[in-house]
Amino acid sequence: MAHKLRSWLAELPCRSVHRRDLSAYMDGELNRRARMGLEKHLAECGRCRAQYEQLRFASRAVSRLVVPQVRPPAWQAVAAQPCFAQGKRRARLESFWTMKINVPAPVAAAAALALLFGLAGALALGQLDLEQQSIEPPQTRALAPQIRFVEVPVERERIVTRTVYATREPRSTSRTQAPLTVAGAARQQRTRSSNRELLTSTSLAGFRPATDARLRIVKEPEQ
Amino acid sequence: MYVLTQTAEALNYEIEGEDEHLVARIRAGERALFAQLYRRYYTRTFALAFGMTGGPEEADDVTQEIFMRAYERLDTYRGGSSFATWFYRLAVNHCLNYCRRQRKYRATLVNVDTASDSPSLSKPSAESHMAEHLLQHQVQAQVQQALLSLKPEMRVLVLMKEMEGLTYEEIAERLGCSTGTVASRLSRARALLARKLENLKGKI
Repeated sequence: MAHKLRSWLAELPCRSVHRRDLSAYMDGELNRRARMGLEKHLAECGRCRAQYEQLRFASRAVSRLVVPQVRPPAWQAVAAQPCFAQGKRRARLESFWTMKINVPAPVAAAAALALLFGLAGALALGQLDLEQQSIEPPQTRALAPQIRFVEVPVERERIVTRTVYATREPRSTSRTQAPLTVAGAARQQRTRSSNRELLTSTSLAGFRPATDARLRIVKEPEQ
Repeated sequence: MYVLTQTAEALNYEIEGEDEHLVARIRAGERALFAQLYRRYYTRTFALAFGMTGGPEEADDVTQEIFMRAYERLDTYRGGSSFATWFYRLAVNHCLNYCRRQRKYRATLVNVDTASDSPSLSKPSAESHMAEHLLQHQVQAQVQQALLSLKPEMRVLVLMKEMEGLTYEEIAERLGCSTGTVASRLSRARALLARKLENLKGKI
């Protein structure tokens, strides 16, 4: 067990602060104090020595990279290329088409979420608005004249159209009057001698849907 | 083919202030003098482009684009830093943009893989020569593959350090970051490279 633990610990990277300075030490970029501290640590720590060897190996490998020898084309030839004359324009176009906006991922995610919620909120509000609009018109129109009386004299018959909107009238008047229904209104109409009466006192007690309170066409044959 | 580090030393023809003088003359109207700057900086620029793109054709294209860009933007050089620094920064930025744009560091991985299996390599000229050539080619291909698998930001650091031999301060100045960032990224890049090139131990 102890052996296993020791081997496991040996595989862990050294947590010394000197470890991160190994690369700079290799390049001779450390000041005297840091260098001495690191050298002292290297003498004691086998893991850091191994890491140092790794870094040296990587450095050696890259320095072995060979580059193909090329003869530079004459500058006159480069400058004579048609794309050179349009270099600025081309560069501008390229930069436009390949334009990238570098936004950190968290900011982008936050922006996307905000947009999403904004859209959802706008949709929800819109729906609410629509629902309210479908309910509200009778209430808002309550301020309009309660009764519209239109008489169209026809040769043989009279067509009378009365429209009563649901409204909220003062209690005093609404209590005294009976609720107006289609049948009641028709009866009222029949009993009146003149068709020019304005039913000023006719209203509904309390709120009623407009569909119930609307008087449609009443046809009275000419007697 | 030649080892780049040797050429970098051989190309040590930068005389203090000479580039700046040349640039001043070019800006004054002697545009043809840009050919001199082009000849001076071509090899190093090509090496950087080759390291970043992984292919000679792409490297050639990128190098020419870099010079075109430098020619167009020469008027923006204010002389705050040396011309070499200004030019190198421009070249590095262009290479990074190219890599990000093309995602070349992924695409070229396939090329390197296929190149290592190409039948032309198996043509025997002489036994020993062939074995040596093959080993060199394998090493080269693997190193290139490992390098190309790094992120462009890390790759350019490794190239600037190992090929150009720049100090951390110079790299930081050219990339516009701190020396601490250079040190930590370089350390990480080297550790990654070492892990990827594990099987080459003993061959290098």
